[in-house]
Amino acid sequence: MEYDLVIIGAGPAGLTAAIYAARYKLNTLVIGEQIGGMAAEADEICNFPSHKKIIGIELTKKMREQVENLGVEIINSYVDSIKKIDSQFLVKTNSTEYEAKKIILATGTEKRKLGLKNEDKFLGKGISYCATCDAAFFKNKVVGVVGGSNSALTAALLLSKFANEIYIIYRKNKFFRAEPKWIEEVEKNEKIKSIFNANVIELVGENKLECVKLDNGEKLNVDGLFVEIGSIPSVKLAEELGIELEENHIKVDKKQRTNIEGVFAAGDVTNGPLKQIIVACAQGAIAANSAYEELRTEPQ
Amino acid sequence: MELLIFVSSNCPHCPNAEKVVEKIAPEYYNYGLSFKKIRMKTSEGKELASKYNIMAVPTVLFLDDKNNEIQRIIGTPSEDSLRSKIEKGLGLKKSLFSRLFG
Repeated sequence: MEYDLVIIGAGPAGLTAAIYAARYKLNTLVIGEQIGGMAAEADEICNFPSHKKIIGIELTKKMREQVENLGVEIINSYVDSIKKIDSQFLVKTNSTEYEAKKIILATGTEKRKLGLKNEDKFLGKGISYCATCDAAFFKNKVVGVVGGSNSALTAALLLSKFANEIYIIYRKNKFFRAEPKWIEEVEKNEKIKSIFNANVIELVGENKLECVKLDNGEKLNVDGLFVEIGSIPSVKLAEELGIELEENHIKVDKKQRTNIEGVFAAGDVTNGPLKQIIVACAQGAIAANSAYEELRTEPQ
Repeated sequence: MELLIFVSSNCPHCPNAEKVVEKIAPEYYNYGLSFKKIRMKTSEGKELASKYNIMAVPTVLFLDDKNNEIQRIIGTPSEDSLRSKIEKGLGLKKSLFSRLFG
């Protein structure tokens, strides 16, 4: 199967690129492991124009529907490899091969883990990386949230609707990466207690998580621990293609072009300064436009 | 053997997990496998989550004929790992010896 454009990644950047590509009448395919990407895990999104407040899964569902209404196919799959053959690309999933004239990498990021012993053992038995998915399991319980970014604070706020006590455990001496609005909400919330200058160093329990030990000497008895310590760009495919990285993000120019001709990138996987849904959407639009301009002006 | 997949409507990983299980499970119906989707918001979901100590979605639970847990998968399983675990649970997995010598 041959396409004008194959977009890898189905988060806001990839889906917006698909909307623009469809309207440019490019024969387009989207392949993504998680439709909606990391944005689908967001509990409340309050800074996306047109919605005062919307949950991530709802916003990304609207994006997906818009793509599908435009006739673009979205395949829910992992991409094993991309190879450049002359001026074309061969994209392989575990079952199918696709040829593409242009590629947009919108592969996003993966959640960072604590890297502690027992972390995998307690996955689904107290350890969680998705508050939106698992918060409701902790009704009237005590939980910890590790991290100090927007995602950590919003996880704590969501958990406060279910749990009795929430400890935010953060390695710095104050919140300075999160939006002031979220910090204000956390500080006002009587169920949330913030523990600064602390790191989790041990996860303790028999069959499930029961306690966490901190490097300040404290021990916290918790039923759950939500890990929100940032994410790592998914650059494996980019590296295999020989794409230049900058601080482990794909380096792009103003037109979202990478150093490999015919390959564009958009969203959180790129070296842009602000990792936000609206920025990812804008980058997706630019990437699709750039691909279209190249296809339009190239000799057939 | 029965597979239960626990899902909730606010879990972005659940549709993918459901898709994998719905694709693979029917391949083993003739070997005595059955499959049921459990929505967390239902009273059945709450009751089963409490009974089997489910604390995350999606979770795929493998039960024997007496409803005892054999194993579980947290998160979205890959097709290969799900097949492998089903075959092990159903006793279809051949030993290295029988694979080598028939």
